[in-house]
Amino acid sequence: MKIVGHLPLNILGNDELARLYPDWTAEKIFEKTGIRERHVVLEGECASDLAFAAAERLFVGRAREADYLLFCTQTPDYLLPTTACVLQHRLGLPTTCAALDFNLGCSGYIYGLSLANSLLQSGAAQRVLLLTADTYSRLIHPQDKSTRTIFGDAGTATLLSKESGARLHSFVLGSDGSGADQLMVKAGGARFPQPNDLPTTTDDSGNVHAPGCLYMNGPEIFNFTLKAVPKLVREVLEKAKLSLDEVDLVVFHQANAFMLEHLRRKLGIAPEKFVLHLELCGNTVSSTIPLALENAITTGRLKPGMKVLLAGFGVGYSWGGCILEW
Amino acid sequence: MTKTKFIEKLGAELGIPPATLLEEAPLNTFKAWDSMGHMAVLAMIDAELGCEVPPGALQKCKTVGDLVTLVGSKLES
Repeated sequence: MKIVGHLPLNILGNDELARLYPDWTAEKIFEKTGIRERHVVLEGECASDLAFAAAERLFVGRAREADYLLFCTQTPDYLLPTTACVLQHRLGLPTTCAALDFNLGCSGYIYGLSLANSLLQSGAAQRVLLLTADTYSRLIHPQDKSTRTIFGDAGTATLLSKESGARLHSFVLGSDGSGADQLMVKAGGARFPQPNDLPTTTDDSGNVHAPGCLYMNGPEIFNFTLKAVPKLVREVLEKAKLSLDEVDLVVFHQANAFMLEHLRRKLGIAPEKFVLHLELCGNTVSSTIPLALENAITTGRLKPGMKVLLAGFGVGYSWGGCILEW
Repeated sequence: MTKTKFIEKLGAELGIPPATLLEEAPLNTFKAWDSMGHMAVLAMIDAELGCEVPPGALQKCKTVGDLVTLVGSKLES
């Protein structure tokens, strides 16, 4: 299993945000979010470009062999066709390669691993290229500082095969659409095609919420995680017949540092086992977990033989967890 | 936890002297009562009282007293 990430070159730092929102300082933004800078795309740069760049780097020095391409994104190039087909052609993958997009956010990487693992186990595929990428920055209203401080753009590529050595198991997945409107871009799809048909509002903190832009109810999402994540972790461990002590590393979706630290303490996870990787990239939605894994591999924190508990949770609501034996 | 202690904790989370946190005080007059303030209070309720807050309930609270009522069953009389 090989994992490669790609961040756009353009950086939005806390100093710039503090200049735009004078009631905040760069340090206050860091204290509240754990984020110093996030990479954001420039005009014309799409999620598929980020996924393409990650995949290109992944294929350096290895054959372009994949018979299944899964692309997790909520910011596709077009309404149709599926962006995965565009990427199959652009990456020079054979036309025998199956390709499909799936629309998930914070839980997307775990769902992608689950799909890839199932395809490999069933024999339906031999080598699965799992791509994740999103450009939430293009969905955020310039005057919605609460989300602009959190999200960054990124793409990742993961190549999975039966021979890769890594083992994935004990998947637990779940959904609760009652929380759909807590993290949403309401207009632009078939339900509300025209953003102007819905009102733009401003909340008590001055954040502007336009129907064609990303809306996030941060406290409600946090409240959801307080209930969902401990249960998810418990269920994954039960399925794997492991205790938390037997897990070497825990990688959660990197939502924001405040949320992660609270969940870490609540679950009794030792800081040395808990991966925090968002200071220089922010919350990159479905790319946070593979970016954190890539960093753990390159820094030597993730070593062969280790058992890693992965958990993603958020927009949907949707959640998923599993064990990765590296 | 007593009501007094809860209000002390609330003040600590929002950076407000507890003496000014009167039960009738409107929460939207506190600068710290923003989305991060909401999250800090949810985290405090979770850590200190271990009680679940129903979806949407926190944002319906308009005063300090509403927050006390929200967690009332977990407070010592």
